[in-house]
Amino acid sequence: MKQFLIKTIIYFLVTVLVSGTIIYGFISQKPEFFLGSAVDYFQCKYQYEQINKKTGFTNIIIGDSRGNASINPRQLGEKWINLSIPGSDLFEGYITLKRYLQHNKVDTLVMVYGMSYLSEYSRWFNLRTIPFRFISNSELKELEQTERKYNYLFHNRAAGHATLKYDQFIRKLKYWHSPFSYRATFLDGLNNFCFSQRETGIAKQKVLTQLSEYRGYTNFSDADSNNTDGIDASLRFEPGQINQHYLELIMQLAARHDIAVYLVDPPMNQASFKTYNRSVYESTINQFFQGVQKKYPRLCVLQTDVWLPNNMFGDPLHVNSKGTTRFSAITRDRLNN
Amino acid sequence: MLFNSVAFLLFLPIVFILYWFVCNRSLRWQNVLVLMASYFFYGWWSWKFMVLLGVSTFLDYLYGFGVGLKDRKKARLFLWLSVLNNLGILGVFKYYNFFALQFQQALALLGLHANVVLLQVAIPIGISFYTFHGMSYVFDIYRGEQRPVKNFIDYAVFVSFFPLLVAGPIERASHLLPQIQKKRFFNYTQAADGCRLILWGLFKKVVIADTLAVIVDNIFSHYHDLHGISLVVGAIAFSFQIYGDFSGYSDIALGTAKLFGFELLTNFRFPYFSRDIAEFWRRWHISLSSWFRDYLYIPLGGSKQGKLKGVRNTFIIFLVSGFWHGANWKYIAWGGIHACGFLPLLLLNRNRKHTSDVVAEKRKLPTGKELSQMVLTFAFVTFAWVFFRAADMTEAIGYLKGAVTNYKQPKDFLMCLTVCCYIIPLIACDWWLRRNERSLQVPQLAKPVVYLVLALLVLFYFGKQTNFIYFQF
Repeated sequence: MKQFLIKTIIYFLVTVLVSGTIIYGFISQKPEFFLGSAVDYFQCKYQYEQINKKTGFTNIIIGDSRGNASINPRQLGEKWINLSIPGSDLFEGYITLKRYLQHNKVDTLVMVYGMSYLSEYSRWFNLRTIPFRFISNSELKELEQTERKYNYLFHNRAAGHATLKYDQFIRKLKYWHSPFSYRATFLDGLNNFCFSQRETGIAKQKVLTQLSEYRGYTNFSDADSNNTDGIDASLRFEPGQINQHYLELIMQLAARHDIAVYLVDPPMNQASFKTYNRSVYESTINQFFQGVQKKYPRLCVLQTDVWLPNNMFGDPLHVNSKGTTRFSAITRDRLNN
Repeated sequence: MLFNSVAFLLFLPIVFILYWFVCNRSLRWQNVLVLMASYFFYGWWSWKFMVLLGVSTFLDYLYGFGVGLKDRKKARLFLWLSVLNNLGILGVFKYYNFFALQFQQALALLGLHANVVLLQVAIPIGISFYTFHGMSYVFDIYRGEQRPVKNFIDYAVFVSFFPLLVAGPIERASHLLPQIQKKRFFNYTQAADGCRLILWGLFKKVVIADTLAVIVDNIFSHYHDLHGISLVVGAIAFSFQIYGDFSGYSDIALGTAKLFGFELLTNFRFPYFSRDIAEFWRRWHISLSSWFRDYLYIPLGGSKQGKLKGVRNTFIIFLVSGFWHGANWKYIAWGGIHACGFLPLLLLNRNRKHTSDVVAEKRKLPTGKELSQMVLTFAFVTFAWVFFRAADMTEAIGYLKGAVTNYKQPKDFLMCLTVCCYIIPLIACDWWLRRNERSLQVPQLAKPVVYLVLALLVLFYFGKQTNFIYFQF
């Protein structure tokens, strides 16, 4: 029995060790294939670089992928840059502003966020921000403290209060690139690494060229028409407490640096607007806007409240190049007014 | 609890440690622990179904005493009561809705409208297996091969032993109960053999079956738009998916039982190396086919009472076997197709031509004749699997039609290549293992490497925790 147990345990440990070494080796050599989607990795990493360096642009746009797609900074003027990170929300927004201010002066801050992410239903935080290590170890600890204050896991309220510390630890393992946090997706990564290197290289080049030429604006296709409904209007809009906490921190930072802050509601297509219009979702979003406007006099809400034609959308949520041109012009006019 | 789940990976060592270190002093405690573990394992899905399992077990335990009476008339009465009880449970939970709908449709054909009440209850997992365990017990008592068990715990362990509870192998009372009634002692060779079987079973399930499942699901759901070759490849892929899935399950079950000192019945013996349909059924889901043979086919007279009765009995056994899988015409059609394949062999007295356990035992490769027989049998079995896999008869016929007529759509070579990449190593391994299915015959030095590679593959592929196909039955 003793011999059997010892052999089984040794065999198990060797298997775990070898597999862990293999996964870790691949992650450290080719993180773009093994930490998530390669294109996302390059796009996010490019944006992180811009955030952390001196750029000279004094007017910044922060937001999620709709922030990337909706506003072309070149249309707003010479001093504008789009620092949006796909899948992000006000937490990453706060980190972006804090970091950018370390090397740059900011006069104007425009925030473009899809409202659903502010409700903390997004999975991207755990698929991009954590594995791509946008935040530092101390920033992650700070977030953990905030989570303990509000007693829930960021972007996963369903995880339950009782297991908060355990869930935070599991997330930390992912942040540390522990091999077993990436075991389930390892084969997909290996598949892409073996068979899609060329395609990934082309996609990388395309993304980086687009981002550098257009200062962080992402083109979600040139010609398309999409009228799919991208909104679940039966829900009430309930902003997450942690996101509200980071909105507070953004506003404090803006006040300290005398920054004008605008919150922009990204455009929606006709079908989405039809669902949205006069829904519970719309009324609760309006309440939220009125509330923040009242609470933060420095913040100006630029609510579009209009839809753009179908041929201006690349997918249900993101405008295409025509839509960007149109919406950037609308935003520019509103900012000027 | 699924064998391919993290929960089971924690459950198994805990029960193993308790079994050999805490409860090893007496047979009673060993059995109590196995029983508790089995109910915990089953209750992981739904505690409500545990009640049904408990009631079914208790009733068969009581019927066992009645069937064991010396008065044959009374014994027969109790036997029928037990059969009715077990078939009643199956009928209510598994077949009631099917018959109610068929009745409604038959009335509709006559121009009558009937509102039938349908049961909104999920089929309890493993119901077909544990009711068949119960029936095997009373049949064995009736035939004098088994005495009624006095200790209820022993009997309850026989019905609910967790490795075989939800998808077999369907054990015989005369085979398993004596093992339950005897204290088990740890045996290193048996336990190591068990671990190897678990690993090999997990490999077949997690690496082969689950990967092929993705391809098969995609092909069957888009069969209208795919090239005929892709549909043929899809059917072949399903043949290996179901083999990997079910034989993988059986291997894990056998291996787990070995860890606790039990030997279960072999359920698969390289079925795709069969040279005719009769041999296929001696190699595929052996515990079910032998159950039907011993408790249905032979009592009906088998093939000994003339050709006509032989034909009748063959159809009965195959149709019932098909229907056992599920209340759907497609399963009956699947059974019927196999009956049609078996019939010529029976009529020509060639159904017991290939009875050796090992194909090409003294050769490295099969002869040309053997190979062509195997390919033909496999093609027939694969054809029948289409009915088994399709959602219904219409889809099965549409799929088969597409396989011979859809030749305008583009061919998907990459998909075919992927299927080959998973199937060919499995066939090669099976061929290699066919002489001794329960242990890898590789040089001593190479063994750790082979096991390590298998374990790494299982670990890398281990993720989705998909259900075993036979859980639905």
